[in-house]
Amino acid sequence: MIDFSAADRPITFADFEAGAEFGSQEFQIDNAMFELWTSLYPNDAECFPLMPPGMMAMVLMRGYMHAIPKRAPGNIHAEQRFDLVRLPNIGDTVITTYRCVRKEERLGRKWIYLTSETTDEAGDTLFLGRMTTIFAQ
Amino acid sequence: MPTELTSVPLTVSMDSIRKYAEITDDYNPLHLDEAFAAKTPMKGVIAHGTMSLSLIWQSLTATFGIEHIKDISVTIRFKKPVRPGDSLTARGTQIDGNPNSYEVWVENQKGDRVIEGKAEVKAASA
Repeated sequence: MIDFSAADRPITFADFEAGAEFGSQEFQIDNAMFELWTSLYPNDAECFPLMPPGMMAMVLMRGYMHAIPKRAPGNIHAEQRFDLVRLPNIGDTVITTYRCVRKEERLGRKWIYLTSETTDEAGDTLFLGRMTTIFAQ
Repeated sequence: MPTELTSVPLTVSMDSIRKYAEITDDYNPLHLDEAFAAKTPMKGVIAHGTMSLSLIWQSLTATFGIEHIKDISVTIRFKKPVRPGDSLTARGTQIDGNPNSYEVWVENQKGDRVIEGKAEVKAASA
């Protein structure tokens, strides 16, 4: 596993290694976050006690930001896939593990392909993600 | 299975972008700093892509009910930037010959698709 969390400089395209995990992040989906979310998306209040499915992106991105706290500015999120198995409840703690599966330079752009797996505390899969990002540096 | 997904609207503002940055902990200056963003190929501040993706999940939830939101896959591509002031609408339509597959997209006030892709809804979910 590559640990980017303590890096003292921005992580760039060159730092990623295809096939390597680069972090596992634990996050509690608490009421405060649910209230913040539903202040932006009021319709999702009806999902309670289940986590609104749109919050999968919140879980994914928050963990990603903590796994790579120093990033060069200007990276672009190009594609995203989610495979939802089941939704956690508000109040649950989830764990998301990130892996770089591929990287390539194409048409002058630096493409990073990442996967994520989010589980409950028992290790059962809740949802999977596949994120394609164009790195600025 | 319905042939159309329930449409879901959202108007994007700098306030909503700032709130989404707080939600995701993503303070990329491309989303928040006009001076920085103006110098990038985006030529100005853009909303986080997943802010629009959430509307597709809301559309699926409104159509099928939260109790049926499981065993679903959504794959999307971010096609055009979303700017403060844009009015977005998530939509979806069943793909011919495959009742469990939907073409899904979010369009802006001009009718331009800002994200588009496909949702696969397992038969047992409906």
